[in-house]
Amino acid sequence: MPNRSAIATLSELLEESHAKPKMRIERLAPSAIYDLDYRVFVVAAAFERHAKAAPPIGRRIHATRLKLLQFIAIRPRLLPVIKAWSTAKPDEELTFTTQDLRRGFLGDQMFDSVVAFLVARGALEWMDTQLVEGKNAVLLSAIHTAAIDSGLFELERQTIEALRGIKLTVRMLEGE
Amino acid sequence: MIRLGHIAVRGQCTEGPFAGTLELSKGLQVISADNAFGKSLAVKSVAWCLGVEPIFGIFSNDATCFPQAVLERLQLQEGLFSDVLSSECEIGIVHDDGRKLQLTRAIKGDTSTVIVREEAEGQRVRESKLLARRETMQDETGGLQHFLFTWLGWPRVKVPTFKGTLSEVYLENLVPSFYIDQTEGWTELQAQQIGRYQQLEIKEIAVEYLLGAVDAINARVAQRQSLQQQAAQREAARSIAERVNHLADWRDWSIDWSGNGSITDIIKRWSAQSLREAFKKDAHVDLPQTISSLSQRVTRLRESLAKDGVDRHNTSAPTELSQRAIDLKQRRHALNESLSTLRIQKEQTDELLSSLEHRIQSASDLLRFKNTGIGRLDHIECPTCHRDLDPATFALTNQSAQSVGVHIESLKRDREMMASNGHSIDTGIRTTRATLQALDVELREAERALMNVTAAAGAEREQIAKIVAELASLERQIDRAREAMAEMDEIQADINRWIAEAQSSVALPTSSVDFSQRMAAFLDALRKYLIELQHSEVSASSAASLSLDELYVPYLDTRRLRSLGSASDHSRLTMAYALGLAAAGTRPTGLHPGLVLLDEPLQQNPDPKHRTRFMQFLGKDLARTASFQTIIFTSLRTDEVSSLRKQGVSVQTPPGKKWLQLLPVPKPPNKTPAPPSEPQGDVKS
Repeated sequence: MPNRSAIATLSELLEESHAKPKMRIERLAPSAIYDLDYRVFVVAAAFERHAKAAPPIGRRIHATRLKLLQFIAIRPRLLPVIKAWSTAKPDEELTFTTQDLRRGFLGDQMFDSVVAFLVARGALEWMDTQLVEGKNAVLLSAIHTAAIDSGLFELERQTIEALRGIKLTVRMLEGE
Repeated sequence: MIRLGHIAVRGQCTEGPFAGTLELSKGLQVISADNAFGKSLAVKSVAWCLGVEPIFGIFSNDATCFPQAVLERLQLQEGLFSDVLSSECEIGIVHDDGRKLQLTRAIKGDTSTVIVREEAEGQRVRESKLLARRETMQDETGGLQHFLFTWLGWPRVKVPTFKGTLSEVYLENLVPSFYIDQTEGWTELQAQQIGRYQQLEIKEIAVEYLLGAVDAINARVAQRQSLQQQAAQREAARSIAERVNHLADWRDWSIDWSGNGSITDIIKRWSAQSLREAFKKDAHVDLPQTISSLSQRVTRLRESLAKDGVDRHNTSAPTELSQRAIDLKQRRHALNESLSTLRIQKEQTDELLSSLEHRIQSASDLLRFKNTGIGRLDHIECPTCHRDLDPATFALTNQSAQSVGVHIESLKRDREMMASNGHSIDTGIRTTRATLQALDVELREAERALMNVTAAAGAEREQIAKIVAELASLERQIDRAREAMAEMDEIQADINRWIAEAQSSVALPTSSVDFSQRMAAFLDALRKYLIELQHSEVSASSAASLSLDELYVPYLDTRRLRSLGSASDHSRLTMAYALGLAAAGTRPTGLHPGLVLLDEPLQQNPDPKHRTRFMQFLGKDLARTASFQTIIFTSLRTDEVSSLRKQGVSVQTPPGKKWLQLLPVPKPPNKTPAPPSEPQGDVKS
């Protein structure tokens, strides 16, 4: 559980202050965002819909682009924000801090772990800054198709589709 | 009680006329013939002549339930076919009182009508052409089911539907309880019951009807209607409570007037105090008292103005009014700020709620994803070393379905809390806006008064202007109080009306004691049949634990009987249920037609043990001596047929390989007499 140590620390602090901490286990269930199956599906769906064919190595996608895509797919409420960011002029004042947004998605360590896992599984391969199809890439399309057939994760899939109409600029991915 | 007298199918094919007939007698009889003989054709003919084909899941007047043999091509012998030009089927029904009925319906031809021939005391009484399906119950002169219900002396019963309307109980609702078709009938109790008519609790109603418990059906219908009425009343109660709360919020009053809970609870709460009393108690609002005190103040002000005059040296009026206007403006400013904060909070709460909805949806999908195993990486292996890859190596966690379930519950609690917050914020916004509106009126009055006083020359006139403004303000307050009181009285009248209506719907009708006796008879018969059919879970010692739940589904102790025993026990249960219902429903008070038709009970399980038990059952007194007609279509071995016949069971083994045979065509009349050795018809094989 990712938050266990933080909760334990909090409990210790409360104990020191003579408070009586009461753990409610049912409230401690980790969010689905931290689940491997969920994240593999999101990465698979983003890869399937956004990776571009680059013969002879198969489809590929810039790793940071994939990171941003899956970050937004998990948080569909950020879609209007990313749209505004994409169309904003360099000196345009925005209602949000682009730095915070970049820090947010670049700091998504779980994505890095999932990609490492998928690379180890042979579904993806690294090629410089690009992620390309591995020899077991069929796994990704199988997961994506199975979810579509079963009508699962519709909102995530809709967001990934909507992102196809938004240009993710180099400025967004790599900073000013 | 009725019985089937005969089943016949006839028609014309390119090779000539063809036909097949089965004569049936009382009591138990077995029709044994090889597969593809045409037994199912005979069974389907019964349903077709009764006009109940929707039980096969087909449209009205659609003959596709029949085999090709009577629709398109008749197989005369192995490899030899003949095109069917026309075909029809016929059943004969014999009533206990001697009346007879013959129903004939085209299979290939005009399928929408049924020819009905009535006979009484051996004489043909009437022949009519009735509509098989369309308006079959409603058409008093041309509807087949209307005729059949009258002929059988069956009462017409109306039952509620999911749409809230009423529907008749049709013959096709009753037939699945005594007509067990080979393909679908054995899969469940009343497996072929019609669902698409949207009748509520129709399976239970069918059982009650056949047991003759029409009172119980009426009570059930009345209960259901009462429940529907109560649902509408709960909605009306919520609407009234909303009006009360709107009245309170708009005037910044607080009142505890809820429209939630059961009808009885609401009646109790709303009858305990009137709306005026509730406002007085919760919001300290007593409108008659307010109006009276305001009126007294108006009178006093008028009197003081007329009698006492004003103090010429008092110059405080402009200052007082100015200060009042300033205070009101400050209050308005504070309220506007508070409203703005509430709006922001509302926006954020809505955003959070939407985010929670999304997270719940994602987590629920993930749970399904995990439970069904769709597209999961079940076996995770390193492609180079071929060892299992542990996700923990990558600082990843594969959560259990249970953990995801707990997370969903936690999210749902959060959503509930946020929804409650949103509701409170909504209430806050409404009351703040109401207060602001009242404050605006007050401010306008204060500013008008200040303007008048400022415009007046001299202290005396200033004071008069102030008193006049006060008088005008008081009168407006009286008007508002009267308006509120009128609105309150109007709602109170609706509340009183609602209470009166709700009280009349709460008293639910109940079924009679007689009904329990009928159900006890059914249960007793069911136990006997299950024992005699040798259901593996029901024996003489355990039968006492058998019961029927409120849906009339058999339970053994606390477990559904259908979920117990072996696969072949399912067909035993279906058979015992149909026969038990017939045994109980053919008592003098019942409405069961006295006919049970079982198509291929042995094909449900080829297990030899199942076959042996079935054969043993047929030889038992319970099966042989039943007062109702039991027709079983099956395929028995020669030794089984002989054994049953020895035990006194009527077993028919129709001759030939096919039920439908070409008929000899009579030769056209010839002037010269035919030689006596020549056959009368031309039989083709």
